[in-house]
Amino acid sequence: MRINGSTVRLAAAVAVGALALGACTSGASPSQSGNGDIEGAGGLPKTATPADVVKLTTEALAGKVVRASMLTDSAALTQNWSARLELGLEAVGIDFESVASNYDQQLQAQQIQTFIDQGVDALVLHNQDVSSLASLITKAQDAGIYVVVLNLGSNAQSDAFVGPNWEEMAKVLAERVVADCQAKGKDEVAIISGFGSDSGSVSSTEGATKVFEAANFNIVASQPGQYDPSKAGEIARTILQQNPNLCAFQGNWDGMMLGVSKVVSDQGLSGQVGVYTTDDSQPACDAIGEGSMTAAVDYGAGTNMGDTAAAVIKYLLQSGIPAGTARTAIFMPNTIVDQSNYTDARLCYGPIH
Amino acid sequence: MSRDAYALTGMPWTHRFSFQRALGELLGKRWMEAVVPVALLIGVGLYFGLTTIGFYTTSNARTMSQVVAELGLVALGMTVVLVGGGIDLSVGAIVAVVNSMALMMFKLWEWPVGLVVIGAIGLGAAMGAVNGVLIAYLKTRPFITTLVMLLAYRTVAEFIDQGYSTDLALALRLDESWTFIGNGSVAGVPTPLVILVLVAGAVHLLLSRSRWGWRVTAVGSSRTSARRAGMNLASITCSTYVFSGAMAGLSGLLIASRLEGTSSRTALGLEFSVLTAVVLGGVSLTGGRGTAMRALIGTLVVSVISQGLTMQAKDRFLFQVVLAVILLVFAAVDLKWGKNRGKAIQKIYLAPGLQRPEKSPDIYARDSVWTVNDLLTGAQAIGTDRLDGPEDVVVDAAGVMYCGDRRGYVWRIPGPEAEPEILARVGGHPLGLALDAENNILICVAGMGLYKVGQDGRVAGVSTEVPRTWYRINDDSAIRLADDLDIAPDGVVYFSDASTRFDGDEYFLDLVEARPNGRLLSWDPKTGRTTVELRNYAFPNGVCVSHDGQSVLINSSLLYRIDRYWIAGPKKGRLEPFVTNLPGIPDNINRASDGTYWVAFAGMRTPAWDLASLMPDFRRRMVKEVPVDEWLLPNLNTSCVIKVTEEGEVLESLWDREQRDHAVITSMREFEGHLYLGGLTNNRLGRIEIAQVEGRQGASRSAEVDA
Repeated sequence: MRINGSTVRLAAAVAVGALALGACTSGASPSQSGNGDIEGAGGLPKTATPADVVKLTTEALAGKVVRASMLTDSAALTQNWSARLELGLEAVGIDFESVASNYDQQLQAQQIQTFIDQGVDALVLHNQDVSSLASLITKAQDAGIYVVVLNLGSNAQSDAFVGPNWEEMAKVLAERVVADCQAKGKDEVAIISGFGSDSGSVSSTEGATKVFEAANFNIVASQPGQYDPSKAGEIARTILQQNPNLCAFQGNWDGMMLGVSKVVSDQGLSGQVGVYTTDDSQPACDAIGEGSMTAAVDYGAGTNMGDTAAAVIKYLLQSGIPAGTARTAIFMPNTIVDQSNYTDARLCYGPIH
Repeated sequence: MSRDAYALTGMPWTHRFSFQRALGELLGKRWMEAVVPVALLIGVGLYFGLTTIGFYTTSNARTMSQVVAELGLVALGMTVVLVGGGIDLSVGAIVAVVNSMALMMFKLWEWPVGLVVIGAIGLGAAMGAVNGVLIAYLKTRPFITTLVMLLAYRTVAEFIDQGYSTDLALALRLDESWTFIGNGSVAGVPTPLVILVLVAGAVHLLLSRSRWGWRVTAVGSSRTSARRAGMNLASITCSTYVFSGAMAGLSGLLIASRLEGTSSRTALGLEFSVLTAVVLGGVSLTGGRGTAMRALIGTLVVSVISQGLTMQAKDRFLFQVVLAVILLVFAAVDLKWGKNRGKAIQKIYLAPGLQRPEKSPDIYARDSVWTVNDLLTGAQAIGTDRLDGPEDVVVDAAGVMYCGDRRGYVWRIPGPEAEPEILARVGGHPLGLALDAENNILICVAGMGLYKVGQDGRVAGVSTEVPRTWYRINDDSAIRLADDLDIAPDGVVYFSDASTRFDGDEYFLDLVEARPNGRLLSWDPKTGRTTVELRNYAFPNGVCVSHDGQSVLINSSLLYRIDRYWIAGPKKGRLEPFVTNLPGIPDNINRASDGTYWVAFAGMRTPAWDLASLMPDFRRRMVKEVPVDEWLLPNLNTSCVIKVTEEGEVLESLWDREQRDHAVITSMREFEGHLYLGGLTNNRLGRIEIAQVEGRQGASRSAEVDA
């Protein structure tokens, strides 16, 4: 079964109405988990001693089950998310496990369906396609499970999306590319996206294209590199052969763009052809230091995002808001990383040890 | 309800059961080939059932069914290719291409859903056809060809992904029938599972019942033989790849409908999961062996492990490791099992039982009825060297003889001096004969059952099976060793099935086993039904309706006795001893013209075999350790004919002391003052004059009894 947006909105409206009515008629009855002002909204009472706060929060969270399905567990990015989530959730007694789907959509669907069957309290998804998991997200919410989507969004709106504003981030980066290229007197750029069907690729390609077109730049290629450094490297090699005047590559995810920067430096083109990427794991910062990569955008992916997601989950679990009704997006802030700041301790994250 | 004749053996009831026999019969079951895969499935099922909360729940079954269906369909296609002697490594790539293309048909080109279904399956079949044409017509190697096509199709999938994934991700089209394919359900059962069950049923029928399936199996078993049998190898081989492609296409369609996501990684490495699944199910990689059921069992094993580990939130790499270990262990165990099962059956199928014969009468005692004489010496030979093993002979009112032959012929011999002519070829080994009221010849054919041959030579099956006994491991519905028959006044045919465990030419194995494995059957011409009259009867051989037509006399070759079974009158249904403790092995029994009975001894008892009867362990060792031609066996080549009164008194015995012409006598018929002799291993019939009894026509016309 598939529920379209208007049905969800209608259901939500009915639910909110029912809640409001309930609050008017039976304000004295206990809410499902807490002491908030809105029936069913949970939370803490208006005033409470610090000891009560600890007690009530622990009661609300301990024993809850949260499961995450990541695209891979071999990238520093996803390892950091899992580690920060585990730290943040298990600290308050939440049972947390993270599994990886190895970029296999069928497997990821199987994992999510299984977690729904098991009746977990919240799901964390790292989602490789804007449409493929949409029905499962809706299904989970219908089953009363909070869904937090990390980094790559879905058409079906989860309780919270935690990740970058891809279009904005790509624009900021593209503006940097335009500035650098104009300084060199060049105007040929190439865009390398991820899967092509994930929200990161879709939005960042759109954002970058807008900026380049506004600057009258020539986009010589715009191709998905499948988040695979060797594949992206192959694409870069071909583009470089066909476009000797290329000024820059802009792409999604440093893990993939390191393959491009390697090709660029192998051909002795470092400095002449810029490599611009989103995300800034330590190897990318090292490449910036060496000069094979020009600039990256830090959006807290490997540092703050996992903590933010953990915070949102803890919030949702205490709030008493019915699953599927919050539907929020929490965008991370951007910082451009280049040779001027790559040693800043707050940027550049390493792998989990 | 049949009567149990077990008590005649004189053995306690505990002797009815034999672990060895049960094991031997169990191992012989065809489905025992699949015992290792099934045990594996039960094993993993139990393990995850015990270690994983919520494994056996409907919701989990639904979740699993999607994985099972998408994997299972491809496994079914792969099974067909493997049975046909090939291999298809390109299935995963076909799934990926069809997945993307089906989404393009549905979302971008907005085809009607029915057309998308046809398009997806057709595309899969076409991609399979490329494999098929290359392999079958251009004679390329299946492994290399499909490996190359795997890479080629993966490239196509990637190309589609590069070019269209963004468009596909953003395009939205809602259609209930589209969602129904991958996410719907029929009466609570998920659609993909329904599709899988239907397809599996179809594949089962195709492989086991259709001409195409048999040809695929034949080609996979032996290409040379298949070609010599006139099969078109190329088209058969090609069709298996087309089928496999179509199955991959169907699977791709299910994935497209369920996930609506393109990814060049769709079904990446599926070929290995599928191969693992079918191999675990017991489908042979070398061709010729595999069923739809086995493909499903293997698919279930893989899916249960995948789902169980997913539920335990284990790392995915563990799945590959577990699968690899199970595959290795399984391959070793299954190989041993397949290799040794046949040997084990051979060694233990024959499970000798204990028998306690009474001390045999001394035939060398002076002036006894057993005294050896020359009364049969000099019998006229009929059809010498033309007949081969006429076990029985029957003579009609006109004096025409009929007899069987171990080559499956039924002979007609117009007179004592005439040349035999072949009346019909029945097949099997025709044994006992009888003539019915229309002068048709009813024949017990070893290995086949009760048959009828008309005077025009037309052969018809009369009774070839009985209802199966539900508690027996061996299927006893077939009549394996129909031996002799007679026709009662009401037309009912009584006939013996000497063994339910050994086939026609292995009759001596039943004697070595010495257990009551036989039965007396009756066939009623009015209802056409065959009934088991006596079960657990020890090697019933000759059957003869008594002179008054009220009872049937049955020879037990194993217990050296003759019993009377009442078929009419006040004693109807009772079984009584007629003669016991004979010194020979009674074979056939027939009415004599003077109101007595003729009985043939196929051989005489020997002290050595009487002793061996008491020693089942000795016989078990002999069977296991000594080649068949060196076995100690009951003597089956010193014969005589005896005459027994209605009261069971033995009047005389007729011998051929020299045994020059009629080495073994298994049957005799009296007709117009002559005794006609048949012998299981003789190359002729015999005819010898006996003193005629006034006023009697003889008893060869079996239906003529004094009612």
